[in-house]
Amino acid sequence: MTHLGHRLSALIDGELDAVERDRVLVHLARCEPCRGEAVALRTLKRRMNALGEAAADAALTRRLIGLAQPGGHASSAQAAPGPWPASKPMGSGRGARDARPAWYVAAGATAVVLVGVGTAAFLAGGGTDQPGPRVTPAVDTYVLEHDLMNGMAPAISSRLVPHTSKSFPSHWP
Amino acid sequence: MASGWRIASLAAIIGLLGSGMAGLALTTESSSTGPTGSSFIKRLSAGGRPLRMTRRLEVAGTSVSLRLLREAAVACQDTSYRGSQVVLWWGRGKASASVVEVWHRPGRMTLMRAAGTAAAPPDAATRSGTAGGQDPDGILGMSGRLLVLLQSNYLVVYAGRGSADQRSALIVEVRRPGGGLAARFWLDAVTKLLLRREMFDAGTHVISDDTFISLELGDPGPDGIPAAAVAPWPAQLDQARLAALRAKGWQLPGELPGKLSLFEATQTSTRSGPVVDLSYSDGLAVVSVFVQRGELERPGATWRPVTLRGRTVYSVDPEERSFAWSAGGFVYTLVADAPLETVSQVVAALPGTATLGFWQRMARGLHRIASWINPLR
Repeated sequence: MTHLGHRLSALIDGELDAVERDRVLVHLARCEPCRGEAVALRTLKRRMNALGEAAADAALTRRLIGLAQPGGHASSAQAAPGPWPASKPMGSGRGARDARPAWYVAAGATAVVLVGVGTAAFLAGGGTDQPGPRVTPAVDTYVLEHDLMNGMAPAISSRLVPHTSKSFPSHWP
Repeated sequence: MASGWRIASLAAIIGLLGSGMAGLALTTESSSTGPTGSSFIKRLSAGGRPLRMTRRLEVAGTSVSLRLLREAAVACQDTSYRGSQVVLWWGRGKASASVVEVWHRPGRMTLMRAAGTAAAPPDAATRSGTAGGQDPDGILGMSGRLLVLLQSNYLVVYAGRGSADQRSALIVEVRRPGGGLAARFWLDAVTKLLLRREMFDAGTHVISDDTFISLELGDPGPDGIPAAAVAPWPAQLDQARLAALRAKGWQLPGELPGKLSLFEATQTSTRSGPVVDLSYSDGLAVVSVFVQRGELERPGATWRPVTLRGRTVYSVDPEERSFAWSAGGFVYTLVADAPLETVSQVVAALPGTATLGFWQRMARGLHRIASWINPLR
């Protein structure tokens, strides 16, 4: 349950005045549930908008296809008979009765070998050619450095992630 | 007699039209001296005037907005202030919002600290700027060097007056070459300090909103500012050193998709070898790429794999602003203040784990199996 009520929707729609907006932003900065609510609401609104666009596009496409058909009806094309002849009934040829069992065994064994070798080759072909030393990048330090370079606030605590500073000495800033 | 009246009426109409056009031209010229004229410009542009006139008016509006942004870049360096900002970022599945305290003194550093952490150790505060102290970046990304990139990649337009943090503000919009809104700046009408900034993705959805919620002008004195504990990496990489690294197999591009240009390169040493930091920007978005030798260790507990333009990488944070992966014997870590679509383009342009085709992988696997069972090996 959000603490902001209709103001959350108004924030996402850009309908709040400056003072009210600042109040809502400050609240969002300190209230995790409301932030989650805001993201969910924003996502929902964007999906609803996208859904509307997609529905319009699909309708337009159907109309255009319909116009392109002779007589202007897409359904007539769907009902038209295909160019291929009717298939023969099952079991009309010589088929299974004439096949010798030995061929089946040989073909089956070959297939098993091929599949086995292929699978083994596929699995063995993965990975990298020359694995190097394993490192874990010190992402929190990198975020700090990034913020220093562009002047953005580096103290966004939610962006600082825990890590094992295996790659870095103790005097690393 | 009737024809005389007609001639007189025609002459009067021509005279009125001429004086109107002259007045309009004078207004256009004077608009470059102040933003007030630009709001008039905007109204005229929206009114569907002839193209030639509209273009002249837009050029005048752009010159006003550029002048304002230049003044803002200077003000962000030369003005003493302290205050609090709300920093809001809309991620794909999560939003982050923080209140940040900010301190600035002319020619010095910009210090920032998460609000409510006054008792935190000194490293909670940090400084902003280059190692030598020249051209330190201003808050909210307003600096001279980013402004140069902004000017070459975007169209900036004065959009009228507004308010932010209960102060009168001048609004400057940054538009993409195609006309879409990319960012909006609120500049303090008196000091030209940047009070608020909104950034938009290509679909004109807001992706970030940073704003002052309290701003105090004036020098708080040395006792009113926390100590700075962190400095940027000291080793600057010039073109010669970058070229030397490239010759050794390091992939360090000078440009990235989205018109991102390399504007800073630094390096530091670690136990596992050097780490290179490449900073790119188009004037608005800023992307840092950290490159080091090695293979990515097993990902952290909070990391999760995501696919960007067919490339699977690890998203390090829930807001999807930091990513890591390894390829070709190097580990790449990307930290971005940029729309996800830009980040995706960048990831796709950097080296990635080579995705072998089916037959290539089979051939490599057969070769490896043959080498395992070869008794003469």
